[in-house]
Amino acid sequence: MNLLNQFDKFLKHSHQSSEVLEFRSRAVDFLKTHGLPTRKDDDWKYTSLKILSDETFLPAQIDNLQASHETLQNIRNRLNPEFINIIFHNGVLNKTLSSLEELPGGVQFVEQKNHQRDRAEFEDSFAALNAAYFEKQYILEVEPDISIKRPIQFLFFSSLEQGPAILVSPNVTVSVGARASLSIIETYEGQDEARYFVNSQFDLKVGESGKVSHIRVQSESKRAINIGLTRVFLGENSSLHTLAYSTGSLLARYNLRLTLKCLGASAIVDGAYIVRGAQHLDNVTVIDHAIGGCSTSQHYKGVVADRARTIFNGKVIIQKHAQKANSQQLNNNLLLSREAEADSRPQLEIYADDVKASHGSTIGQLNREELFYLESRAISPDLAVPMMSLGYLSELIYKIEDEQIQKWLLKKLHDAFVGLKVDLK
Amino acid sequence: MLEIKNLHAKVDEKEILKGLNLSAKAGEVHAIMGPNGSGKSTLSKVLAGHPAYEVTEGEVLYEINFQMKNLLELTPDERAKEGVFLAFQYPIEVPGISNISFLQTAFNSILEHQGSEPLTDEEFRSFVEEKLKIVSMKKDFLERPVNVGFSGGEKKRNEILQMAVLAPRLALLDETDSGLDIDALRIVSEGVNKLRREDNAIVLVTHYQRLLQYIKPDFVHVLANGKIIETGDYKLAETLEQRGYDWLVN
Repeated sequence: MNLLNQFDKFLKHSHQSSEVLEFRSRAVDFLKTHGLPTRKDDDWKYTSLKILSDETFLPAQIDNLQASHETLQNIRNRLNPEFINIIFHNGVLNKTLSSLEELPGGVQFVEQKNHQRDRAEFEDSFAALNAAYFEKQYILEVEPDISIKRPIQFLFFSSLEQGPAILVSPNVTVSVGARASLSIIETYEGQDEARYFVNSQFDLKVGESGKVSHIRVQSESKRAINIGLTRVFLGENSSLHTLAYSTGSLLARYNLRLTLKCLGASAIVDGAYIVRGAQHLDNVTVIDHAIGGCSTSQHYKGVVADRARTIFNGKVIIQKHAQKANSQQLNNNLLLSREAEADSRPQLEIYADDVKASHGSTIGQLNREELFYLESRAISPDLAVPMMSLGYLSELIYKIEDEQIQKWLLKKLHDAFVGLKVDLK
Repeated sequence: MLEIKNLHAKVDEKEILKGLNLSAKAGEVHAIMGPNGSGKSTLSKVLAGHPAYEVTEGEVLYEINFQMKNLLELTPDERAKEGVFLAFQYPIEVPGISNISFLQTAFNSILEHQGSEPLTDEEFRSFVEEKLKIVSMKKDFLERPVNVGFSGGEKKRNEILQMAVLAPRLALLDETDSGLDIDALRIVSEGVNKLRREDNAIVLVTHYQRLLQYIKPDFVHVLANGKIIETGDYKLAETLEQRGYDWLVN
C-alpha cells in the first residue's frame, strides 16, 4: 500500500515512547490485514479512493517544513478573536498561534499518553492510518460543572510548503465532564490549490447532563483530500447539537458515528454542504441507539452545482432493547445544474418494536416560481440563485445557539456562493 | 407609456390571449375586469415576463428613456429594472431570505442599473422604515423571511411595500384584492393611492368592483376570451357589478 511505504522512514523521524511505537505497529498490521476499502464495500459504493493508490502522500513530519511567513499570515487572517483558538499546522500543534493561555480554569489541553488495547482499537482502516502517522494524540478535558461561553476552535490548517503532497493526521479527543457545557468547533482549512490529504480522528465524549455544541467546518483547498472520522459518545441525559458544514475539497468523506448507550441522551445532527466544480463529498453517518429513551433528529441539506457530486449515506440503528427510541432523519438536496449529482441513502435498521422513527430524502431543483419572483423584483438570476441557495442552507445555521458562531458561519456560507455558476437549462 | 397591440399568448399549448389591445399613459389608472379564465392573470404574467407564458403574436411597447421599446425582448429582471412591477396574486414564499435583504438587493439592483451608488445597510433601513408606514407594517416584518408564515393580508401588504420601495413606472396589480378582509383591503388600497403619481401608470386586474370603490380608475376594460371587449370609465364597473359579465360576453 502506497500509504505505508513511508512508514519506516517516518519512524526514524518520530521520537516517541515504546508504547506509542507499539500502538503504531499494531495500526500498520491492521492496515496490512484490512487494506483500504474499495467500491465493492457497500459503504464506499459511490466514492473511489484510486487517487490514494495512484499518488504518493508523504507524512508531513518527514520533511518537517516550517510554515512560511505567508502561511502564518494566512492562518492569522482566519482566526476569529471571539474564539479560543487551538491551531495545528500540517498536523502539528502551533503553540504560538494558539491561544491556549485563554483556556478557562477547569479546562486542560494535554498530550494523551495511554493507548489502551481494550475495545476494538481501530474503527476502520483510516483510523488505523491515523494511528500510524499522527504527530501526537491530544485531549481537551473539561471538568464537571464548567460552563464555557467562548467557543473553542480547533483549526487544522494544511499547506504545501514545497515538495510532494503530504499526509496530515490530526488526532484529538474532547472529554466533557458531567453537567459541563461548551461549544467546540473542529475546522479543516488549507492553502488554496494545495495538494494534501488530511486523515483525521476526532472523538467527543460528553458526560452526564453535559451540553455540547459541535460544529465541524470542512472548507479546504479544491485539490485536497479529506477523510475524517468524528465519534461521539453521549452520557446520561446529555445533549448535543452537531453541524457538519462543508464546502468540501476535491474529495471529502466525513464519517460521523454517534453512539447512544446512556439513558435520556438527545442529539441534533445536522449537515449543510455546498459543492461545485468537480468536487466530491461523501457524508456518512451512523447513529446507533443502543439503549432506549434517547432521541435524535437529523437534517442534512446541500446545494450541488456544476459537475459536483454528493452522497448522503445515513444509517440509523435502533437496537433490540432500545424501546421508546425517537429518531428522525431528513436529507434534502438542491441541484443547480444538469450534471450535478446527489445520491441519498437513508437506512433505518430497527430491531425494537416500540419506537418512533422516520426518514425521508429529496433531490430537487430550484423552485422556478420562487426564482421568477426574485427576478420580477429586479434581481438577476446571477444574484437570485446564490441568494436562494443561501436561504436554503441558512436554516440550519440559524439553529446554532451561539450568535458568534452563527455570524461566522453565515459569512462563510455567503462567501461560498461567490461566483457560483448556474445552469438552469 | 405602454402599448399592447394584438397580443396573443399561450401557456402549456393553450392559447389564452387572443389579440389583446391596450394602451396606458403615465398618470393613468386602468382597471381590467373580466370573468374567471378570461386571461387577466395571463396578461400580467406576460408583461412581467413569466417564462411559462409564450407570446405567439403581437407586440408590447414600453417607454424606456423616452422611446417606445419592445418590452418582450427584456428578461424579467431587466423589465423590473426599467420600472415594471407585478404585485402577485399569490405572493411567493422565499424561505431563508429576510424581507429586508430581499428588498435591499432588489432596490440596489435598480440603483446599479441606473448607474447610482447602492445604499448602505443603514441608509436602506431608514429608507424602508419610512415606507412601512404606507402599508401600516411593523418593523419586525423586515426581519422575517419573505412571505413565510405571513397571513393572506400580510402578503398583499408586503407586495405593496415592495411597490413603495421600488417605485415602479408601470405597476401591475394582479387580483390584489382577493382574499382580503375589509380592513386589509382599505390599508392596501390606501397604500396604492399614496403611490399614484403623475409619472406612473397602474393597471389593476380584478374580478370584483369592490377594489374600485377604493382606487378610482380612469378607465375600466372588460377582458373576455382573451380580448378587451369593452372599455369605459368608472360607470362601466358599476354596471358590471349590477348586471355581471353575461350581457357583454354573450
